[in-house]
Amino acid sequence: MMRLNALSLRGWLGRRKAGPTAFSTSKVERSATCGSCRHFNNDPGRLEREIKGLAALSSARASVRADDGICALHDRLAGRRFRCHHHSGIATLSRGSTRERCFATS
Amino acid sequence: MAEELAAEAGAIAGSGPARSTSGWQELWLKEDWWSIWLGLGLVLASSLLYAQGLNLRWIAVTPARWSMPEQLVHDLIANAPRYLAQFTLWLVAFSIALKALGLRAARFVPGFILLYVLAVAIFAIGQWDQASAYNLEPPLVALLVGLAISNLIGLPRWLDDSFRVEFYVKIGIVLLGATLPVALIVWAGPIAILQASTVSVATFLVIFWASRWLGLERRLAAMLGVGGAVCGVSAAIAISGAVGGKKQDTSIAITTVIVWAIVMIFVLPLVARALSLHAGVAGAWIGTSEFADAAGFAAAQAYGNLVGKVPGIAGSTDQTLWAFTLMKVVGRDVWIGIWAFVLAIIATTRWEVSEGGGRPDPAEIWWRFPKFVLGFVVASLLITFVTWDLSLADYNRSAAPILVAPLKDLRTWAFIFSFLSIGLTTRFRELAHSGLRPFIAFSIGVVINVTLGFVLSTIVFAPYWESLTR
Repeated sequence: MMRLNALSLRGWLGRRKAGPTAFSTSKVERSATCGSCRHFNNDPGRLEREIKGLAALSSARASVRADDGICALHDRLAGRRFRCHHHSGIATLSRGSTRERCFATS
Repeated sequence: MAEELAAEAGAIAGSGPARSTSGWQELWLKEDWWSIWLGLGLVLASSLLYAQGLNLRWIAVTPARWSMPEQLVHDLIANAPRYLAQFTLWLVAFSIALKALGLRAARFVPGFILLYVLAVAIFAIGQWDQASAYNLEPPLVALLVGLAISNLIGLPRWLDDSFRVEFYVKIGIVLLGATLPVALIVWAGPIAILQASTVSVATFLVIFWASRWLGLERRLAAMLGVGGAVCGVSAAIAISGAVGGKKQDTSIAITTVIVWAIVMIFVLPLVARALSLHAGVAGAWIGTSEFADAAGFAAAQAYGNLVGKVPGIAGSTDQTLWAFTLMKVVGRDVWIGIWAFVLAIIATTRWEVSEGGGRPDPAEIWWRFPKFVLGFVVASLLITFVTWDLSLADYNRSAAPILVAPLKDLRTWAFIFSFLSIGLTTRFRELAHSGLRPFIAFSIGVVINVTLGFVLSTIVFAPYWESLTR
């Protein structure tokens, strides 16, 4: 039954989610993108080392990757502009000199 | 618990703020743009020299055709200064680009010496007058030699800094633009988009549904689907980033794509040869049914090289590459941003996002756009402009051998660097264990992709691909 459901359009798309889990618009979360989180790393050399086979027929330095990186907390790829309840960043503000304390919203 | 996880992960990550490569910085931080700078630099240099009655022939040296080993040795010795100059040109240009991309020039040099020596050997083998009789097509030989070295002998991993598969193939694609008239892009581009879109959507839906049927997670299903439908490994990494795919799943999708892409490098030209397909038709089919640019160019170049050497294959080598490029690059690759954007919307509004997510931004379509395609189009425009007032006869007599031929030879070098690099960086024992279900799901898509691509290329749109001429 579950497999038949997978073939339906709803199974394909999934249920529409309610509430803020998809992307939150609270003030705190707006300011906390993965790009400023210490769990996030988008160094292309590291991506090529950690994702097996990436450099064989593609590259972490290609435009298609945009600014994506690896979230070490969730072991997932994430966009630099993603937001997360477990943000734990040391954000660099303008000019790269001032640092914020880490925070989590969950 | 969350704090413990965070602390542990932070220790692993150990990173400062992430580096942004968007905006103007992309111009020097992404290899797509560096392939444009280097490729267009060569096209521009060739055009300026042509205007002065000069050309790049001297530095675009290639081994001459030979039948006896002594002839080859004599040719290589006689042209040693030209090879040295060409090696220096590549070395300096690549070193500057790769340094800007964050790689160490000191590591690049020894690896590139090895790569260039192997490339000369591969090129020379391809120039043997009996090479086709023994199936010694340079792309296939380069791939096999690379695979043998990396999997049987082994090379230090730091040498991988020199084996930049994508970078080299993108430079080759930009140079290929110089040989493809703009009129052809305009004329055949829409057909390529129509054929490629038909096959891409069908392939994606089949792989996605098969993956879900087999119980795979949606994000992995999407990575596999777009990997098969659009641009292989590049698509898998782009979609993974867009939908927040698991790192392990990303490796699984990439491994699956690599295995099939390498199999297809050999299978597609072999089947096309058995059926004596027209060069343009075969190029279109390979462009529809291969999974990665570099792998596809290896297959297309291998088949194109057979024209004139194997009886029964009509057309020209250029037609194979033109049809392949129009289908793969124009028909499939340029749409990756749209695939990523649409799937990001679905992922963030429909799929479970317990951890992480973000509001999809339409600008993602541009961020992920394979920018080297712009270089390909500009190169075509530039050469079309330079040769605007020439008749076809004049073009073939003066511009083709002086302006375009050296660029074609330099393009062949770039492709051989890429084909060798595929083998040298593909270490089968290091690839992720993909498991049977992703492989089965992807394989079902391969059957649909190859069959549909074959029917559209050889029957429905065959007249277009057969008449792809200047």
